[in-house]
Amino acid sequence: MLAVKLRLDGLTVAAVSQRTGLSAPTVSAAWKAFREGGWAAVPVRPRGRLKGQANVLDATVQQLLWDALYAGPAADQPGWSSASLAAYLGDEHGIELTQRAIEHWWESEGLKHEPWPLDALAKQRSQRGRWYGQSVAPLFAKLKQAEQRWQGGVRKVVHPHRLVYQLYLHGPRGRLWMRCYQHPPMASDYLTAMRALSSKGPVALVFHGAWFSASPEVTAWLAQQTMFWLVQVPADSGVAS
Amino acid sequence: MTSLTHLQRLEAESIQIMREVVAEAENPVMLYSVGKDSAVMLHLARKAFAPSPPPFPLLHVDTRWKFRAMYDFRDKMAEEIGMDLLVHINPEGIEKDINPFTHGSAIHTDVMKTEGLKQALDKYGFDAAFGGARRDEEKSRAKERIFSFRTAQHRWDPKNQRPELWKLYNTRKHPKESIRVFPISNWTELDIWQYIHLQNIPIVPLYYSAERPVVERDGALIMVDDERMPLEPGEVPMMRKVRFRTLGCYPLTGAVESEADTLPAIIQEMLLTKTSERQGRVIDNDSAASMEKKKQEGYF
Amino acid sequence: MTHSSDLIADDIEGYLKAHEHKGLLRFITCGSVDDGKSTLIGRLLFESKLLFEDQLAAIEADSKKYGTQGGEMDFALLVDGLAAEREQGITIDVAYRFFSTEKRKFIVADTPGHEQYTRNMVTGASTADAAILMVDARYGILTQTRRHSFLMSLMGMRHLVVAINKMDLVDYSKARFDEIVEEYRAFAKQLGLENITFIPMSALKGDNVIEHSAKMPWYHGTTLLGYLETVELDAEHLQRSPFRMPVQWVNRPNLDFRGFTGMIASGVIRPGDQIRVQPSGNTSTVSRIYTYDGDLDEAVAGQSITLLLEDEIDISRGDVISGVEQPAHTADQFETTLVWMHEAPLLPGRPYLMKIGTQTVSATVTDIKYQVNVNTLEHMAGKQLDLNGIGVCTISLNRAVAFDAYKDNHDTGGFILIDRMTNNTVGAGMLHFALRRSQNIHMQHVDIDKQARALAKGQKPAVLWFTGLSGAGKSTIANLVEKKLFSSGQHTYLLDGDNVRHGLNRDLGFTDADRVENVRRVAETAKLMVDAGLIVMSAFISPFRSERQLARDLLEDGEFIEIFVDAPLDVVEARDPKGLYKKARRGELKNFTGIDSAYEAPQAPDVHLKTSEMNAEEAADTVIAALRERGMIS
Repeated sequence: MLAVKLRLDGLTVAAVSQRTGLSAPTVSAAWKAFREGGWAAVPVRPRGRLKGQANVLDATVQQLLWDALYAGPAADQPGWSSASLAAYLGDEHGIELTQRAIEHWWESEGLKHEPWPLDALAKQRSQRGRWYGQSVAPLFAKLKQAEQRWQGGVRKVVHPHRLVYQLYLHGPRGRLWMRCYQHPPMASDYLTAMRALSSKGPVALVFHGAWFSASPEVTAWLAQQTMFWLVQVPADSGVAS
Repeated sequence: MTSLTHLQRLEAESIQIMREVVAEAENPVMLYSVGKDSAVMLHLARKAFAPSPPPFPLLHVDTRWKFRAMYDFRDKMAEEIGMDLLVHINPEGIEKDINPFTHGSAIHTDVMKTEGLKQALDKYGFDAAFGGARRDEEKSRAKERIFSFRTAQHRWDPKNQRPELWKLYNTRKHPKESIRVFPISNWTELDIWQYIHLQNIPIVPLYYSAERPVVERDGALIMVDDERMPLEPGEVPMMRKVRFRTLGCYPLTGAVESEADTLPAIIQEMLLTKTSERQGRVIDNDSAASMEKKKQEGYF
Repeated sequence: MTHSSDLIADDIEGYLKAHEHKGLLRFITCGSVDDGKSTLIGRLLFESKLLFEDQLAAIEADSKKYGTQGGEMDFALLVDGLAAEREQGITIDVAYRFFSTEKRKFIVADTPGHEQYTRNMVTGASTADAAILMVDARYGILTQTRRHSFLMSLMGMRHLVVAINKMDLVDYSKARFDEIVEEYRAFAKQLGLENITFIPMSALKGDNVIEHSAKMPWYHGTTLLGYLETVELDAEHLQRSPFRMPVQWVNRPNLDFRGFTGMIASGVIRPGDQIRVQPSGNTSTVSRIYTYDGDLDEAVAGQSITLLLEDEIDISRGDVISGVEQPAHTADQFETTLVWMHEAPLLPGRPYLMKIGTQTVSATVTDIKYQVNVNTLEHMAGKQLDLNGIGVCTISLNRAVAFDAYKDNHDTGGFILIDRMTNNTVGAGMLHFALRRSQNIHMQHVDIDKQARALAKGQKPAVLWFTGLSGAGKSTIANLVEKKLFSSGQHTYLLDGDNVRHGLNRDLGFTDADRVENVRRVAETAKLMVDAGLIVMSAFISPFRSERQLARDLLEDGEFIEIFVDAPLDVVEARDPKGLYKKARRGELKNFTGIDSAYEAPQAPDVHLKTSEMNAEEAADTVIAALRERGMIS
């Protein structure tokens, strides 16, 4: 929306793109949609919070949230969920914040991540379909319970003024757990999360975005596990995009 | 009236230059760096001499630290075109195990690239070497001649370069002296990409965006191309969608995060991008490693 | 203005399609920094968005530091690097810069207006379709303007823009603009310059550069960029001229394929066209126009192609393929205009190499008819052309070449001259017309002098005069020196007793008078050989200083090298290889040097060889080193 407004003000696509942080193709797509179908046609993918939605989170609360995400959760947790963050804010700082408000904030900071529809791959005849059939399906056949099936990954989140490397995990019903780092996560960071997952029983983790075979620590730990299976999403398979 | 396009004119000029060298030099060679500029130069050479294969060999001055994808691509291309591929690695570099990590980029480049090139030219007695440098790459290259003369010691004497008028190139030289010839001097980066697109010229896949294992070094994204890349204790390379705007030794070549996995997308990105091409080359950031100095030493 | 970023973002494929059909224009800018030339080029680069942020940031910082525009973006800083380059010892030269719009790609030859301007400007102009001449509206037509205009007319520039710049500083005055236009037109008429376009401009403020200026509503002509985007390209103009293609290289992959490669200099060619090969005059018909991408139905000026002919006729590199109707001319003597580009002056009579088209021949300037003063356009007499000198000269070649007058075709009428010794490009020239038989300069009038002969041999001629007592080792050392010189490709001759006493000097004995005459004849012979361009070794006792001085005086400075082969009498007498000393002591030989005739040792020999302290090999090396030190050999 903002992009279209700026375009109406006469700014070039490149200038708008720079101003809004949206990619140039996104800006021009929005502009095209507007010209063809008016405001209603402009696709609003929420990027940042638009006017009229929930209140802006207080700067100190935001800082508390960031501090928590960077510091990490209690040792037995694989990451922060919106519920655990809400509980932490309430317990430690006396701040009442709904899970939904936290999830909104995640969204505005670019931290939200959607789980991949892995099951849908079963029917695909593509490369990723084959990958699913060969590498994931047999494992899922063994581990039938939702709590045993995890997916996750690591990525760099583009943020206007913070350095954010995010480890995201999706547990049962696609619920998001996360931790953030100011540097690419180290072997110990991954191991902390994987240990937390494996402490609850047999677990399969489909993971994207780290090249574990280059890490002797992770490789050694994985080799010792009998009830923890890691399946890496192959590069450029399109599963994670 | 037929109007030639700018790419047709550039192509014709490059072909004319190459034929001139082949007609007048005794033992020419094409320096093949495996990058996009080399790809265009090689394509132009095929056009200049077709239906004959280009009547000179390709020379790759290898540093042992190129991307693996570059080696694969190099061998495939040479075989496909049917040209001799000469690969030279400075034996001193092998003996002393010169590498960018322990010796730094300046020494590594000097020994493996600059010295290696001189050795190879001496070894085979090449008197003219085609290179893929362009005038738009850098401000100091704007005045570089198309035919650049080197002394018997491979030095570039700024005072001893010849004026180039019309389409007349004076290729005469004394025994042991040599010429570097830059047939694509007048092409810009955009021309190169447009031509690659238009002519379907194969290029190393590293130019296209893909998920690749990278680590961060001084703000640059360095690809972990093989097990020789030293990792910090506990470091785990991340898989990120990156591509390369220039190619060289993998530890010295920064990747950029990008979604561009087609040629039009690459061109689009290039046109909308705000930083110049050479920025990705770690080598340029070495203090005091000015291009002029490099040139005098015979780097180009 | 140019790379419409909206189109790039919206529809990159469409953008690429549109940009595939751009043309290519090369132009040159003349003027100094003060005229706003750099500001103009900087603005064109900037507006075409070919600058990246990192470059821009650097310029912005520089603008604040060094800029002349009060902290505003100083475009001139984009292109000026001359001071820095001067410090680095780089010859100030032509810089080529690139930008493009939706209609054309541009290659700008940017030449400094001051030092070395002639050489640089001529180089830059040789490849340009158009020239922009910068004039400061405040000062009007200056000497520099005239000078640059003359060079552009000399180079046959077909399109000229006089950019009357800094109109903002004369209040955008139409009167001032008209005044300058008037004055320039009068001057241009003298030079025969045509196709001149005048544009009132402010490069700094952007008036009439890319967009029409609101400040000058009285001007209805084109903007500078509008001009550059539409002016006719030379390559297109040349399509209307007769077909010419200098043959670069003959492509013979197998017996069935014989292709003649080259870039078409002018005209159009199609299969079935009749051609004539020159200078041989053979004719044939084009059977195919071969390219890597498939055969063509037609090829035009500016394309690099491969022609196949129906007949097996002899064609090699250097020949010119012409359309049969209007073939090129062939001749071996011409009137030309020469621009001298090297510190070492042009000397009439000295043979140079001429490269014209794809042909290289030997050329001698037979006469400098007059020189032109670039500032006053006056004609002056002159025996030589110095760096940046321009002269109308007659030139004689060692064989006939195919050519056109430069005004008709720059590629078959423009040439460079190459120094045979240094291999430098020393001159550039334009052929005007062939000299007819009656005007021919006959070869005997051409000075084939010592220098010419020496050049042909690639050496400096000299006499190495070995003097010393009998048995000192003169002939042995001279022989070794000759072997060494010969093996490094020098042309030499050794004069010694063996080949002189038995023939030329058979009538001479050993009296002092005969000794003097002996030396005189040897010296005269050596002089002739030096004149022939040889390096001569003479190995004679030559005992008297005055005769050696006579020999030295016969030759030019530096050509006579006196080498004292110094061995004490007792040593040579002990050696006595031919038993002569014994004979002399016994009185069987009269007037023997050292015994009963004096040897006057050189007081300051050029090379002093003490043979008691070195062997012959070392002595010969010492001589070679001395020659090298003097620059006689390389």
